[in-house]
Amino acid sequence: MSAVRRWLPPVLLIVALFGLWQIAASSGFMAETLNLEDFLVPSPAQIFEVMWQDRSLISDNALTTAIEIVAGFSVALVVGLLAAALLHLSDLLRRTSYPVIVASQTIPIIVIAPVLVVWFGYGIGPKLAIIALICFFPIAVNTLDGLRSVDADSVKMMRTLYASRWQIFKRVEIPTALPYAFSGAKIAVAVSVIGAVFGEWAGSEKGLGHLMLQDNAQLMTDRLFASVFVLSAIAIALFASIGLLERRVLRWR
Amino acid sequence: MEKSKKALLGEENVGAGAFFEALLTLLTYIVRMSGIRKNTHCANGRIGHERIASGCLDLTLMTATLSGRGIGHLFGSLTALDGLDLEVGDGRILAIVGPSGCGKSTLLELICGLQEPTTGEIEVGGRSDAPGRLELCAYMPQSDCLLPWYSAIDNAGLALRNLGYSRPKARAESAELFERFGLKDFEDSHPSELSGGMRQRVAFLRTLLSKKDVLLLDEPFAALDAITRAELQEWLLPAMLAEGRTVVLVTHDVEEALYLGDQIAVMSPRPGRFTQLLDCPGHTGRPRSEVVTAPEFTTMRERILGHLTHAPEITVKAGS
Repeated sequence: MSAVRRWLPPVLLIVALFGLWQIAASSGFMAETLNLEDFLVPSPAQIFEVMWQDRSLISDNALTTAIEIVAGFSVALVVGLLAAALLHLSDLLRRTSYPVIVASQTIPIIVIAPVLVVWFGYGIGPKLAIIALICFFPIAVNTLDGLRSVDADSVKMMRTLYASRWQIFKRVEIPTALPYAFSGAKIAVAVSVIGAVFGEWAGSEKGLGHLMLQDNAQLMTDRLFASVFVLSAIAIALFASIGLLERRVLRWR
Repeated sequence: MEKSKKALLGEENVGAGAFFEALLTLLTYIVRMSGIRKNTHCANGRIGHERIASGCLDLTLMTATLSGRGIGHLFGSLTALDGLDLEVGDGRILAIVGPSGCGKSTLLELICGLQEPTTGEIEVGGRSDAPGRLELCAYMPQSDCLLPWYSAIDNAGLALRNLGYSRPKARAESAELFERFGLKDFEDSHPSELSGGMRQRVAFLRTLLSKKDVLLLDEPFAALDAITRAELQEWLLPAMLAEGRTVVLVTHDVEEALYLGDQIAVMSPRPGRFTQLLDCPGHTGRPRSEVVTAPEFTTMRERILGHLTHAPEITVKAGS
């Protein structure tokens, strides 16, 4: 019952949006208003039809993209958490490298992506780098904020209970920072999908971004949207699994 | 072409491996460095381990005397404490009352060794350095500071865990106290599931379980309602008397100070000084409701209250 109650509203909303789109597209209203050929404005029904017809092609490419996302996100998670811990433990390091970390986020990914492809080739390398670069920032910054938001009285209390620096870190600071780290991870996973597409657009042999680029060139708008749907589904699935993990880990909340 | 690319990739991998290795080395180095640096401030953790490691950790109880001479403390240009002298004997309970902001909490932090006073000297059980005092003093902060991610019993046993006890061992030892102090069946409750009074009890057990000679209690019941506070005072008194440790209790509640203390020290508003030292009526073992309504008790309470609320005289002129 509670699962139904939780999932019903968003599902209803999506169905309603698709319904509106379906009516607008199949009645020719959208194509007419935009002054376009019908095939350029596919209806959801057509999109799902193409998705089913080309299911092996799409799922094949989706797998490639999903692997890139998971791998890139994992790299960002490890590096982001480590960076946050280091920056928290060392004032000097934080003051020195915080501007660099902020700078890393100002790199225009669209511009840097082709360069990375030139450097690292058409393989998974540049995609990993781009996704990790995008994901790193929210994870590191959120986790660092979490570590720094520790209750000063709790630290004092631990100091009077024989705690070493490491024990304070382990028993007070890490648990305090965990909810922040999860927020960062959720933001990161949502943007990771965009990173993957940028990476594939810059140069790739496979992946949903690669497929989109082809479909766009061939005016296969219906399959383009099919890829977009699948990409969204991947992002939502990843987001939901982090949420699930969060509820498991943060039981005390 | 293919070959050269592979060679390049191979080299890259070596590069990446070396890079991560370097990162890891750097990481352990920084953690170690910051650990050492921070430990100069909180060396007690290290000492705790050394006590365990050398096998000479003696957890049998010893009380300690506490004395301070000319304790003064500045926050920037603000004088928080101004030349306090105090002396608490073995197993005695000193209650300090004073108005808000008179530096009572600061005084406890100084005694505890969380900071050094700007001037003067504090000695606890023969140790006058901050790490030494920290080793001997247990501190119960104003807010209970229970960690929400641990159950009540794991919170209570934090000191034992920090000393290297395994979780089952720490739990077993804490469980005894839970039973003795009326917290049985609440072992696995999380702090959010406990009432304010229960939380304070757990916080007190956590302080007791650090097995230190001196207990410093910072307004332990300030956040509780009057009924729960009275209930907890009645609970705390026999607990303190049975443990026989030296206690400094800070409060702004005169009744609480008189009921729980052997002696009561009255502090002036900032800059904090002791203005009075009195003997409390003493612990008779009679119910609290009787004790606090006895004429001797109420007279003392009124006298101290009068002393605390004594304000500079002002003249009020009616406008003409």
